[in-house]
Amino acid sequence: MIEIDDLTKIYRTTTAVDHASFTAPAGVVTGFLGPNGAGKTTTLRVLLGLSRPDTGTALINGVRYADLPRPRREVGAVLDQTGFHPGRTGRDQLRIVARGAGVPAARVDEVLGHVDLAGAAGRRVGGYSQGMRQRLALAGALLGDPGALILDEPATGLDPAGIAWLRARMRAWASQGRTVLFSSHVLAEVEAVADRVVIIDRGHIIREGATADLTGGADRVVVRTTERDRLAAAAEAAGWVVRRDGAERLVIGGATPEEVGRLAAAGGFALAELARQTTGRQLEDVFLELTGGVVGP
Amino acid sequence: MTALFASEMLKLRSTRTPWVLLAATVALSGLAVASAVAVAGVTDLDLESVSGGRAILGVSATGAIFVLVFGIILTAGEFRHGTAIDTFLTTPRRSMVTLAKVGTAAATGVVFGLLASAASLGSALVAYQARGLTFPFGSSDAWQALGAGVIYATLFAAMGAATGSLVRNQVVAIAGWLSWIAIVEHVAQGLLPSVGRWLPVGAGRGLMGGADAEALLDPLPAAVVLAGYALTIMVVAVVAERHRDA
Repeated sequence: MIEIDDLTKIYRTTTAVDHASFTAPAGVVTGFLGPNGAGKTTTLRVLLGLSRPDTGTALINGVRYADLPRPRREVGAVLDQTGFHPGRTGRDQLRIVARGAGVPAARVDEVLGHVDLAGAAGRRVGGYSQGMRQRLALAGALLGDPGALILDEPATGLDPAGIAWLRARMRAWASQGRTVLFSSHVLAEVEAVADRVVIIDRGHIIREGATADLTGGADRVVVRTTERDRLAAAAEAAGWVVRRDGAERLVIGGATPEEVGRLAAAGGFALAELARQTTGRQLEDVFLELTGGVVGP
Repeated sequence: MTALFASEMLKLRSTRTPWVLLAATVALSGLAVASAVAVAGVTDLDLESVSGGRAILGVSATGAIFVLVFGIILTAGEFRHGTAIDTFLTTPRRSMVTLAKVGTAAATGVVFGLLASAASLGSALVAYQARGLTFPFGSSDAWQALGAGVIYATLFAAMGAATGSLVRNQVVAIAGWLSWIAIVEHVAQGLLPSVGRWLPVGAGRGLMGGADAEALLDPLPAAVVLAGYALTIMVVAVVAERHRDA
């Protein structure tokens, strides 16, 4: 459980974060979304005790990061600006963290295996690709088997396979009851994996809630049937917005899949497909409307 | 604290830079002493007196510049490579980080000092023999020289680490110390020796027993003065760290 309350951070004359409050509960993936420079990294830095807030608090399981007795065992973090010494091997990098955090040395090879770096562990980090560095950073975050993961733009530098892996891992961590908070400026990234979204713009939290609520995903249902026109008529009669899409498909707005299914059953229509529409368009619409800016990868 | 110290030692062992600096320190100490013996004819140094021998060994203090650089890299290097964030995530109490790092620098300084002093002594013996001279040191003089070299390297490494922690920028810290040594102390030793002997490099020469030993502090007070400098810079670094972002 992560709680940000009334957090403000001022750099000289710039207010990077302005009285921001939000929570990231345990057991779900929370996406922290905002354009570049919106204050995501600053918020996470304060949360991790790297920067001092000007007002407010940032707590992990009820305490400040600096007051955690064994921080690496409770929180795993990957920050955008984290660097590695280019002359050090990946394994040595993790051994240093393990030793400092009191984590058994055997855990190093275990997490190297998790991020698929076992083969490269003996090589100097200077020769790693950006994706390998990112995976090494993730391995460092996982060393202490922490209950909370805080990841700043974790998909940066990963290839499509790596991104798919990361999404699956984030979902798995959350289902194990861990708190997962990750930042991103890419809408599709947040929409693909986050249960909850917190949107930040110019230091202000402008929206916080379940991803489904924000996107209004319940409003559109895709249905396929050979009796397209008769179902469309029934749906229109029920007061829903209907759009014909190809020979057999309908996109219905204003109804849940359950309601559409019930309507089809009552009318005796055989359905070949019934699904909630999950395109990235809608969160993007919400986002652009809220921030009034341009966003993209 | 033990875990932190072990982690810092592993940081040192896992990159090449400290090893290169160690080799450079030892090589420079030995070479400086050998060349000092070789050119001593043109100076009015009595090579075969104990004070002459000390003066010759004091030349090896030149190698201390590498010890200082080593200390600076140990702390400021973390900011150069962006590894400081990782360090502070493991140990959010930054005063502990600074203490562990200065401690690690000092402990490693002992190794630098031992090897550099041994190289100086060995080099002096060979150089004396080559000139057909008798090295004036008894074993107690040799041990004293060795001890002074160790304390010297330990304290300069600690000063370097404390400076790097305070300044954070490796280049600025190194350039700052070099300017201090080459300009401020150089002028002070020449024009105001009564002040100059209390400054870090002046006190260092007092500790080692330099050529103009009568103008310098005695080894023991010199060591205390140097330790005072190291401690002061460290305390300033710890206090400054409280008010900074990582």
